[in-house]
Amino acid sequence: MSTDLSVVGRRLPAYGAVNKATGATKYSVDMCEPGMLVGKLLHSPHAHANIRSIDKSRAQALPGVLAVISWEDIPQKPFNPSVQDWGLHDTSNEINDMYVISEKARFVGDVVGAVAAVDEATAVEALRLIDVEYEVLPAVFDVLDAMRPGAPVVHDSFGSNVSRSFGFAGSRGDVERALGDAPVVVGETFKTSKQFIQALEPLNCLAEFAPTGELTVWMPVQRPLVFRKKIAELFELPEAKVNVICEHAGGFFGEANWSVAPICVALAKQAGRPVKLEYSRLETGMNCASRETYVITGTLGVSAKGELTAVKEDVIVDSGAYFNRSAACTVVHMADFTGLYRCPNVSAKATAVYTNVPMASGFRGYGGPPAFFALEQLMDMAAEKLDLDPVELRLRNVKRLGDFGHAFPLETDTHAAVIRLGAEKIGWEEKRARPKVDGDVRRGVGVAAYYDVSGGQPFERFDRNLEMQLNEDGSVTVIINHPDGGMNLLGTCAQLIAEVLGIDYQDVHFVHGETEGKLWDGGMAANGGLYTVGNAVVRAAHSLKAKILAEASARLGVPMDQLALRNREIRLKAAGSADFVLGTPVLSLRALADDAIYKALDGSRSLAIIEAYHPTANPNPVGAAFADLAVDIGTGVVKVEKLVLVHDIGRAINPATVEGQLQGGISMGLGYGLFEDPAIGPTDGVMRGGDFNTYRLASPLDMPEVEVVLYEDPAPSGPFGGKGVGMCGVHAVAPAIANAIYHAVDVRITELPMTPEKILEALGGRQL
Amino acid sequence: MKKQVLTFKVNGLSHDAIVTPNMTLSELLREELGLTGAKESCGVGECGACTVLVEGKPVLSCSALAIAARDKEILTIEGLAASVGKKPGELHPIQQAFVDYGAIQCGFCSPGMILMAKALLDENPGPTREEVQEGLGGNLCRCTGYVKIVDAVLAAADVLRKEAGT
Repeated sequence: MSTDLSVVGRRLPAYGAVNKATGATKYSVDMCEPGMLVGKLLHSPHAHANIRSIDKSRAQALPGVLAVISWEDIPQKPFNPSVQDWGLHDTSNEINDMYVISEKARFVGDVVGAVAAVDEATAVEALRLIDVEYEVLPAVFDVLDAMRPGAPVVHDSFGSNVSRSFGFAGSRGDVERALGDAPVVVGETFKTSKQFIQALEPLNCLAEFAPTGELTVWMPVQRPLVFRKKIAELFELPEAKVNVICEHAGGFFGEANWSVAPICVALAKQAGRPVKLEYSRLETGMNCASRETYVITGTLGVSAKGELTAVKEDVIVDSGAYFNRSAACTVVHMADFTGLYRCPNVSAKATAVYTNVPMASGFRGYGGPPAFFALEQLMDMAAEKLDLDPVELRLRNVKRLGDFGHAFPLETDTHAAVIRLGAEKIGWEEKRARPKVDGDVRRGVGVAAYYDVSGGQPFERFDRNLEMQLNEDGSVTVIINHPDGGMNLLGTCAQLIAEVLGIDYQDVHFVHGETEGKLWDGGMAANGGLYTVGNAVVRAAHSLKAKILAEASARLGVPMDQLALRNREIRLKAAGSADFVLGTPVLSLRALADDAIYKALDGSRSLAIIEAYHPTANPNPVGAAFADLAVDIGTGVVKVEKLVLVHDIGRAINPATVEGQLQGGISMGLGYGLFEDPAIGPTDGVMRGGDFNTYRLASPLDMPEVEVVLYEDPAPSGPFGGKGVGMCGVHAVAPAIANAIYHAVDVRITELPMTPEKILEALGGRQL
Repeated sequence: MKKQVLTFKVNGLSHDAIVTPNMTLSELLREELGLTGAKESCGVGECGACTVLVEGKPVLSCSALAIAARDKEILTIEGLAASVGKKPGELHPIQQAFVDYGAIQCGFCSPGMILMAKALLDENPGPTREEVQEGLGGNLCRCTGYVKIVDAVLAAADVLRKEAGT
């Protein structure tokens, strides 16, 4: 690693950490406006029912109730809660199949009404007084049942539950022929689970209209400017009259359902008062969206030399009650499944199906965790048939420099080295060879690889527009609409800017918490923060630096190439030396900035830049996870002893931040693999895994020893070589665990989560 | 519901508040006093985000009744640093360690986590890694995977022991 960097690469405190540690940070759930009312939602108790009538009169008559709404009170515009359909995506295939409040109940918990009242008790009582007459319809909860002829139809307009079938644009070669010719063919069907986002800040919204009609919305939201557009369109307001405020959010793992805001806005509009709507944990589960839920049938063809010749996938998408992001998520999913390894013959197709359960959407990993759960088990099955070590099979098939990954060629050649490093860290050879039997437990070790993107480009608009200015005190302010969701994007950007401008990272300030006055920005998703925002701020900082040096050059009468910025000073390059560090300080940044405003004879001017950045590449981060575990064959309980994850980050701008992203992803991957389950009743559609007692998140006690290793090989197109990380910790944990379980007890668990019950059932009382 | 006047101390200052019998301690702190550092995440005592210290012991404020705070001394995250004599702008060693070790991501669990860590270290100034995991076992975090939180608590324990001269 080069050593001439002074700020990039350092473990500096995260942006906003001091305020968070002292309780000073305000999240939207902490907001309170004078005269604010309490909003509450009415949920359908039925999984599938026509609403014959809703009588709101008794609720409206209750003293203290200021708004009662049902679907008729919401703008009659078909809605999709996904941003993918909001003009961000150039070729959207999502379906607008819902109103913000349902006109027909399609799952237990579907929102059919809402109220606003002076306090919670009155609001709850008002809900009880809404008389809904339901015509209960037969319902279907299993995606395969939903495809059968005669199944109850969730959306009448489609005639059946199959909403859309689509292929994969990356399909190539002749898969059937390659499978026919392959000496080794493996195939299996996998079923993945509905993991819920459950960020710790519950979903909430506060909406307020000013007397002059301006609307302010406080809400945890990853893409505020796109969201503002949608709200403006729905309520027929000019965008400039809508201000969406989100400075800090209690966790960003996916934008699962934005209909909370339109409901809250409709309540505020009717009530003529600010309304706050705060979801319970159960509501945050069922009325957000789960991880994309798939039935995946995968087939691999492999040559005798252990090279993949065919990758085929047929995926059934359980959309749940509404389509949401079933298309975009699944296209990414198919790219993950078919694209991790080199292979000349690839095909994938998807069928999206409605069921009477809460909808699925994009959640940290966005199609990847189900893809790698299936693909990486198939790779182990192929390795076994070939009598080849699983690590070796992967090394023979990883993509190399210049191979196409997600839409762009790989910029570095790192995956083989990453996998080898992980194998070394976990002690692969030794652990594969050690005795498995240890009393009642059987030990195993497993591997799984992954790759991902650094933003959604070119398919989505990950464009960045920002302003950067030099303040009179020599510090820098960046004006950009990026809420802080805990990823330390802004702190990392501060390090990049400080590196370019030769200032302290604490001298970089951000104005970022509301859409008002901000230039357009596509928002946060798809590991895209560091790469796209990072590149944008680096470009802006270079432009600002050039402007500063030009100003200094004019002021000092010294050519620009003789000047440099270091430690908040303009320095004169020492004669005959390229070393600016030892150069002579001639002017402080403060004096330069202050003088440009207050002393310039030709007019006061701020030194500022407007940067418009359109990313034109997308380096793929790659990695691998290794699990070392013990299975108790009496109870089926899996105890993960150690997880190693090696991630190719390009360059870690702040290693502590990158590690934290991966460690957090690992804890989610652990829950996904072993226990997170909304437990939707197979015969009644009731979600029993609702609050944190019944829907279990990984606690400190669930965590095994975790070793995260950052592999650094700078990506040429990245800011100082950096690339994406946010979603990557989740991808390979569940399949590494599945492969380790197979190594331990010789059974393949093909359905998530891999609970003790499923493991015992698979063992079938076998003696091992 | 019959309202009553309650007297209690928060972060060293005495307060009076009019409360209903069903008001929770977190409602009292967040809504009546505006101390929003105690977070409500689950509302039913399962996640630890609302943890405050009452008479030095950790209490889940979302599940405790406000009236139970009568004449009690409550410490919230807003008063933690001052409670050990820190000046405004300075941090308690546990807060400092959370900042320095990257233990804070979204920060929503941090106030509860830090106060639970304080209760843990008050009881056991020299915990092992496993004891920290156990002590924080009731506090959920969706962001960090807990590794850096445990690192931070262990580091803070070292600092606190040094400060105490033990």
